[in-house]
Amino acid sequence: VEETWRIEGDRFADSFNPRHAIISDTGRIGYLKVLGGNYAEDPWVEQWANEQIISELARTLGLPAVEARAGSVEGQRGAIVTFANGRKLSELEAQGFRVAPLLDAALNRHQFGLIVAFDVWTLNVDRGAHNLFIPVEQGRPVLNLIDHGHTLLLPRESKHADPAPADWEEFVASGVLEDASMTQLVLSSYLRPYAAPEDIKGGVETITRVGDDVIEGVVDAVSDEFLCCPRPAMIRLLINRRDELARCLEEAL
Amino acid sequence: MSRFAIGYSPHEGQLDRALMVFVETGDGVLVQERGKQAPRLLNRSMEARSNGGPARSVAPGEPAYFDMILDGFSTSVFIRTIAELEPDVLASMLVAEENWDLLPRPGVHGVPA
Repeated sequence: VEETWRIEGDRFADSFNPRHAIISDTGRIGYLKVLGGNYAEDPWVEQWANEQIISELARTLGLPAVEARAGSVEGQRGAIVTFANGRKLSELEAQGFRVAPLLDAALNRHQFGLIVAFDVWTLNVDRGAHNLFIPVEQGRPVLNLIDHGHTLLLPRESKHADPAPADWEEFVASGVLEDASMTQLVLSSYLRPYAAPEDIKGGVETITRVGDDVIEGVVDAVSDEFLCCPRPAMIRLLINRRDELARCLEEAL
Repeated sequence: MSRFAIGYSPHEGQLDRALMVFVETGDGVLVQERGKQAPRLLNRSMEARSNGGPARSVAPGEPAYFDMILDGFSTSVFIRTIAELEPDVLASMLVAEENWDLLPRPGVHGVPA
């Protein structure tokens, strides 16, 4: 059933990607993340596609992730992110909490290796404390994933894609994204110190079982208007990296 | 002029129930929670990264600092209202005697003594 959202709040966080509070006709609440004024639609609108793709892939793997999809609300394009009641790790850090004991107590501590491998697979260059959060009203903390705009082929500069290549499919198949420096870049996430190499390798095994059809289905679900690179290139990127993930991490770990 | 923001309950049927107020100051962001006796000042520098840009430290008092704090709390409360903090608004809030007790007390950088 198509859910219709309306804007119900003032725009805030203008220094980054601004957002509005939104409410759906089914009573759900969330935020619409939109582009700040200084950012070109091409390529930055692709952030909202990334949010949807990564959110879906995470959930396919059983990783707790905030529901997000690329869409429009009252004519504004962005990422529709369903409200998740919790506290970001960055917020807890800002208040002086010690994060390590909290993470060590997480119910899904065993998934940290999979999360690190997942971030390497999806080329996530932005897994900081601000992109991890812990729902409240849990007997024990459960680490959830949020904010996946800077994954896949964004930012273009850090993915060797600035200027944009003439042939995206050739670019993603060239192996330039599988070189050692790229692996080190995406491996240096906030959670890396909490994941043992063998746990990360276990995560790789889980990811390699994700089928081509699943990847195609997830990417195909994104509306054309949010993809600045051709859809087949995005699919090829995820399939290539899944197949090369073990080799990349074997060298890096 | 400073900004202030109001975070509401995210629970169904309570979406208009204010739970937190955030006030932008030169020293950081004052956060007052419903039911708490005094606000607290958030004033630790934080690291931020804009689209495609390098990470940089954002200090209390910078406009981006207030935005970062709101972003951080946006999963705790449903942030719907942002406005400039007009002196008249603040004055009107202080008509109620009990609201005076919510103001920060003198201390280092505005931290309640």
